[in-house]
Amino acid sequence: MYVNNGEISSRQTFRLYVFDLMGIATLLLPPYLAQLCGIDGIWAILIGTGAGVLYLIYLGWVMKRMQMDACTYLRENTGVIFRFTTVGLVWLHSIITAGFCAYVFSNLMQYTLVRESKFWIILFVIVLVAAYAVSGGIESRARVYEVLFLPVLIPYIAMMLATIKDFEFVYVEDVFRVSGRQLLEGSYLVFLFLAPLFYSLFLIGEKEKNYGRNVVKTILCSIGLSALILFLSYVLLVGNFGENALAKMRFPVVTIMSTIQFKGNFLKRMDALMLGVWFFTLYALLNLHLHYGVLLLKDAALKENKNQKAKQEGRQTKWWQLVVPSVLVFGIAYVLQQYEDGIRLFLNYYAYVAVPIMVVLPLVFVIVGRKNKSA
Amino acid sequence: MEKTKITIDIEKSEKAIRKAFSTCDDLKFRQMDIGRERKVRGFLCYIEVNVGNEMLNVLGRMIAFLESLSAEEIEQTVKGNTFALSDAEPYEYMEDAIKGVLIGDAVLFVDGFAGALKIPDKGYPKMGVSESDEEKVVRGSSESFTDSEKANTALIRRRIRNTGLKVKEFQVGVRSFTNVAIVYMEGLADTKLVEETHRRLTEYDIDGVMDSGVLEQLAEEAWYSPFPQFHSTRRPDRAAIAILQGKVVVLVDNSPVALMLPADANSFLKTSDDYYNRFYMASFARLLRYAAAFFALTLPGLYLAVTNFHTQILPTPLLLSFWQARIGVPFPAALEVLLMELSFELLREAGVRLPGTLGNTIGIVGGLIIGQAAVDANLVSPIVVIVVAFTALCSFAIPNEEFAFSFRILKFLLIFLSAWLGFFGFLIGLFGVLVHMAGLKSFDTPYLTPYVGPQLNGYQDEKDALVRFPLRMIWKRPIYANMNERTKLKKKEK
Repeated sequence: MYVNNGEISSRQTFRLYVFDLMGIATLLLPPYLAQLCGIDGIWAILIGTGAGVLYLIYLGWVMKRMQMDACTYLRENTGVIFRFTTVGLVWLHSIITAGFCAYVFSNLMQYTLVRESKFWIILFVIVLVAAYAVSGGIESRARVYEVLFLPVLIPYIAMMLATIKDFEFVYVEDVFRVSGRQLLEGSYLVFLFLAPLFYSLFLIGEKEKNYGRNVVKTILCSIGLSALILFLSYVLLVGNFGENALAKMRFPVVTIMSTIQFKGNFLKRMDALMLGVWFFTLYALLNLHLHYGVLLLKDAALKENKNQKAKQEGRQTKWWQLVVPSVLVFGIAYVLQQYEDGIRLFLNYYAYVAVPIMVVLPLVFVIVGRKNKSA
Repeated sequence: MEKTKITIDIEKSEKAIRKAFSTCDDLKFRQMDIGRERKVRGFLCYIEVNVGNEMLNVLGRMIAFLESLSAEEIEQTVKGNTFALSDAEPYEYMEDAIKGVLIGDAVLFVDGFAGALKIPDKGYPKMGVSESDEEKVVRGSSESFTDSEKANTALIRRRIRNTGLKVKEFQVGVRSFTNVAIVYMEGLADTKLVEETHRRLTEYDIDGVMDSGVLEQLAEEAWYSPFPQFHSTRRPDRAAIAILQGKVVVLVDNSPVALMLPADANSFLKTSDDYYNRFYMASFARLLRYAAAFFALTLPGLYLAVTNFHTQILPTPLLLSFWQARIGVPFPAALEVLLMELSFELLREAGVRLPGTLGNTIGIVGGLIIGQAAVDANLVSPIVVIVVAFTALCSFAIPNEEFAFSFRILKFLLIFLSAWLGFFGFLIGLFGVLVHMAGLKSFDTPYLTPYVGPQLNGYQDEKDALVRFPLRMIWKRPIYANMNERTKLKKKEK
């Protein structure tokens, strides 16, 4: 029999992380990477992925020291002020990122599918369904992506491979032109898109000696596959459009889908249908952040339990724990829409504020936790 | 409620029975003086028609036998069940005896005996075993469940002749006392599942249960969901297969529909002849059913999204023919689809309610004549008729009516969303349905099993999912079967 324990299987973790990592990266990264590094963006992808792997190993080390998920660890091993400050920070980051995802998502849908519809209507529908998805808990969310994995990934890879016939080698021949600084910037940009790895600290894993080892191994595979897809997509995009044209495009990976023509002429353009790929992957990322927005709020509201029944009741999501983050996500996405380049604004926040904190915070967890234990 | 013990005083018992059944003219009350000296009073009560003639003949012989005995011997005979009646447990309490009469037994009271003898019959009038009208198969038994729970149990036992097949019987309905049976294979079915089933079926005090559908609705966890969480069947062989897979089957008296649980989406798309036919045929049919389920849900919505919002997908000649077909149609495409879908649902409902041959006629009149007339009168375009007809065909290919209905109802949600927000609305609707299904559970089993968590059973459940692997490769029982009894097939050692 199955149990409702908030745990997800390795297969589900793998598939969920592939969606979390590859979706927004394939959609947003190529034009920014082309601006910074041109075709040498492929090296940036490799270096950035390498940095992501190191970050994951570091997170694995932290998990091993914590021997439990971060929420429980902070509750059991740190003081109230520290706990609320750090959980508050992570919660805020989750909400901001969810807002950004909702903004990109709504923008993509409006730009490609329903130009006549109002932005806020699209955003509202997206946030509403995301809130419904999150209300089912992490297990339900993981099941969705476990089922969608192959139906989404296979058509995407097939369609990308179908663009090979228009591939121009002349666009990709001129490599190693970029400066070290640009390469570093490009690599950091790639690393930014691997930031959801931070949430692996919050996954509930089996209680075992090598706590976190399976999670790290699984997510490592997800990073590998996502990086491979991103690498292939980037090479094909540069090979099809050239780096200069690519740098000016809004959603090049969608544009490339519209150029594919199949024999028989039954379906003329596949871009509208293929948007399903980013629809589902962006939903995965939005749901990931909204989920933690809800989970951390729940955790903060969790009282030190007197009995098992109260503990169970505390685990159930209350309506306000779902509504408050959803409203905030809607608000942030709406505000971002008011800026001319909301994506650039968010990437700056990510690069200079969020990611440095996400790198340092796990180490702080361990140090403070240890100090409190020894005290 | 406290029960009243049956005393040795037959006068008291007679009073109690007469009081309970006052103005019940269908109760037959036969008084008799039995024993050698005809000094021992007794009476027999039963509901008219319930107790068959055969049983009354047996009773006659029994009473004749009692006539030759003394008062003490009569008491000993009744107590010791010397008549060798099956299921002749004596009733100790008056309430149980009354319930026995209502269930269809004859009950014998004898003076000096502090109890009442149940003479089991369960002879309520019922339909015989007939051919199944639903869940038709190309190969395999055509037998269908009947209205009698006892007969249905026998139909299952005929297929599984094993002492491990357990039937746990109880009554539900504070006024109807409807017999309910939980049928399962000991060892194969998870004991927690059996207990949980019993708990949920008896969770409510209800006046009466006229069909298994009532219990199904009360026992479902997600009552708001359009998806059924119990798998219903009218086929005894389907129920027997389920039992052998470790599922639990619930039979309800007066209902020809058995409930199988736990249920998952995959099981609703299986038929019993999937296992009787060769795997190529079975797999092809199953793939077809999956595609049918998908189109039954999505086709009208997809049509609206493509023709109203994303015409760039279609090649120009096809787009032109769509456009040409719509010339002169006064309604917007969304309203046209909606009207046609509603008309079709109306035809279907009328076809179901009308008697047999008339029902078929409605289909022909509606589908051919009205459809053609609507196209000729430029009320609808022929393309929409094709879309709606194909969608209907797809929904009929889903073997389970309740499951097909959930797709039919959700189709309207997708029509609405696609008409409003195009392909984006279509995707939102599809994702919403998937999220809903992912959150559903039937007795702790995720609804999307075996597409989720297949590793828990060594990826064996996927061999009987989208395609059906050759039988010799499906050697393991599904995930819900008892952990220690997962092997269902192995080659005999020579």
